[in-house]
Amino acid sequence: MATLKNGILSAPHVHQRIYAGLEKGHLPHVHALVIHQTGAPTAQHTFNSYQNSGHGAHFLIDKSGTIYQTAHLNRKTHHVGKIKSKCYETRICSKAQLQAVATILLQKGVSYSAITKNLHDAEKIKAYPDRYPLNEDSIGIEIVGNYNTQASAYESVSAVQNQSLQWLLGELFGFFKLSKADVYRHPAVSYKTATEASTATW
Amino acid sequence: MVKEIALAALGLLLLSCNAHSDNPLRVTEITEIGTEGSSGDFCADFVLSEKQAQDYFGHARVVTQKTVHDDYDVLPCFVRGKGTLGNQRCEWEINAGGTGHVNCAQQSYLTACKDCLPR
Repeated sequence: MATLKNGILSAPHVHQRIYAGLEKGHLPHVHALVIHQTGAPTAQHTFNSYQNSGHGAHFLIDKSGTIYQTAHLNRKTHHVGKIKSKCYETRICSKAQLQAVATILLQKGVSYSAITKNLHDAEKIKAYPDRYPLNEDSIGIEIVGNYNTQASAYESVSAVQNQSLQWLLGELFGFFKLSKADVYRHPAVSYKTATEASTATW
Repeated sequence: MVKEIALAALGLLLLSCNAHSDNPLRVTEITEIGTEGSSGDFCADFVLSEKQAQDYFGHARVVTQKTVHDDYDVLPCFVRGKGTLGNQRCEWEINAGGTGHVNCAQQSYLTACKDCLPR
């Protein structure tokens, strides 16, 4: 049984490896969990990057299934990026919502990066769950998995990694009163490579 | 003597690291302009000429997947084509978000550039 105190998840198989550089201010609410893959062959590659980069998540699940906590759960991390429109992607927009999204997406003479930023800015003012999770209200979980440039795909999440993921999600569901509906693969939420975390199961 | 060998090795290493920028992919053909999924209207303006594709690869950096993940949008709009890298035949793709990938007979790599595309 895990405990959560001052943002630290304590359990026999959760190892603390907090990187202060990943933490970007207070995380007041946790509405959702976002599943990522590292694109690197080992946990150490990602730990090395955490020493120099401001991008990262709250947990990392190693190849062995070992869970590392890399940021406090009451601190925000930069793991999501610019979000898509949830109602547009899931095809449940009202007529007015659809028109608003289409107006942004089909802007002429504007760079694609400006379009995705404009869409993100329009989405982020909505309340969850009417939008996808943001850095400001979600916990990120990285799974170690390399990216094969020849196949243009992330490697499959292993059975032992999925087992650890499912245990971790179960604990987080309890602490933050979440359900499976609040768990997202990163490419569902943001414009990312489609195979990232596609073989994670919960 | 040891110092000279070390310097020569370092020189070779630096040459090897700069191989892509010194000898970039030669774009020979555009084979497909398309979209993933049903984003046709969103991608309608993403069209590149061979020259624009060549300019992209001439300026883009070789990057890791982590850089693609952390710093770039991967959009459903793409242009694909063929090219050569030295003696190797290659296939390539450029994504509207500024990333690309090159698959050649003996190597494959990812590219990225923030300001290398016309839109």
